[in-house]
Amino acid sequence: MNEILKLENVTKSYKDKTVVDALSFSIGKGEVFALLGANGAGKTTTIKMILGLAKPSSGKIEIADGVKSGYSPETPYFPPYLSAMEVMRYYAGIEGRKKDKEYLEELLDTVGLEDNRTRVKDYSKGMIQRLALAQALIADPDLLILDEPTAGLDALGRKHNLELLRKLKERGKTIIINSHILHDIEAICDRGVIMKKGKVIDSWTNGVSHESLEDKFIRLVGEE
Amino acid sequence: MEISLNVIKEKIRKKMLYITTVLGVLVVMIFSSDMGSLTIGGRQIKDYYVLIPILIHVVNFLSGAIALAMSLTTVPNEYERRTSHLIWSRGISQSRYHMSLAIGNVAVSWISGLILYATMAVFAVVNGYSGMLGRIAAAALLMLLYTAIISMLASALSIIFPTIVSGVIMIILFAGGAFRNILILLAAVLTGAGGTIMKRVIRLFPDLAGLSRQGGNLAQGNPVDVHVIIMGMIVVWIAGIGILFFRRKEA
Repeated sequence: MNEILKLENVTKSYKDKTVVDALSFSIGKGEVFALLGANGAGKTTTIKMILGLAKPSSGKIEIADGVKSGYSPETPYFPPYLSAMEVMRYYAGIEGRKKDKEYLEELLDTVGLEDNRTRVKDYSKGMIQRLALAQALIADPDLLILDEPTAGLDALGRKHNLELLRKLKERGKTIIINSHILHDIEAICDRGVIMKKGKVIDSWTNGVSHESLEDKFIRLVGEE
Repeated sequence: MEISLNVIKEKIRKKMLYITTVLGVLVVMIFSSDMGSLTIGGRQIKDYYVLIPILIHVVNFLSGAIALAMSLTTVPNEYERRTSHLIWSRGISQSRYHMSLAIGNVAVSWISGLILYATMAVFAVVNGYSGMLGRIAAAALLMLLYTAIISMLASALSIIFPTIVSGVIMIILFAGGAFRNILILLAAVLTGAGGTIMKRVIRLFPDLAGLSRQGGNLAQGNPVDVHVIIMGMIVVWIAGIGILFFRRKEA
């Protein structure tokens, strides 16, 4: 399997505090990879470093040549006075893409936002989450990085998003998911790492162990 | 381009532009009508030709204040609500991002300043000074430079300082620049080390008062000191360099 992303001994410190400590893992093309851990485990900082939003204090992050990435943040903000289509056109414009209306409409349909004229201020949290996913897909990325993609969604919304992620996986997309909803992780991810206080304390591969991910997570993360 | 346009849209939608502009228009109306009159040496001045340089000082000051209020929070807001994450992660450089935001700030400041100048022009016509319209338009060009100085400096400082710090620095620079003439007078009166220090400190302030004076000269058809205009352009250029090179550590 071709490696699309590789982290080697990546450390991030702020003054005296180390939030990510000698983190190493690699992700192959087409894999759906989970970053797991309790709040403050260093998952979001790891994502920020992969995206270039923060620089590692030491270590190396390698992304394969020509890989395009898309990012859906945990708490996305979109200008409330714009409609979904306007948001899509805005980000497409920033990327220097031709603002092909049909293509952008198709992306919005894919995430279940058929009504793309309603303004963001009238959107529910779940709809904003879907819009975040849609804008992440504009560049048709090879690597999708999703921070809590099912958080705040109702049961139907979660099901819809998981189905969408499955479809993206089938299309060969590599996906990194940071989520607290372990049931969703088990439903979609191939493998992952469990982090605690900035360190990888264990890895997880779907379907290998009889122990559920939730039990494993509680056992490992709950231990002091 | 999209980022700059979005800044303009946002300021317009947030109605901040309207509120500040309405306030400015009210001030222009008061100065330009019988509601407010200027008395010099016990004589009431009603001649618009005489009033216009004073009005230009006032309108430029208002435009500068609006530019400051509009420009100071744009960059910090982008980082605070993490819009920056979706921009940086698309490989947009900080230079391009910050400059786009700054251009948006300048554009909004210009729109607001031009509305005030348009109000001034309307009152010139109402008062029977239609012949001054061309010269008021020329003076408006200097207002564009005036507000660009404030807006660009505020944008540049807001990249590297917290809003409260950049706000205090900008208020000092703005007030010092707008009342530079008075400070120069004060420095001339002061003797000893105090006077020397003050004279040096004054040099740090952009010559906003000078720009307004040149605007007044243009409106009255008097000669203009090009040196002041060139110095103003240099300040914009320096602020632009700052915007291109100032960096945030994280998005």
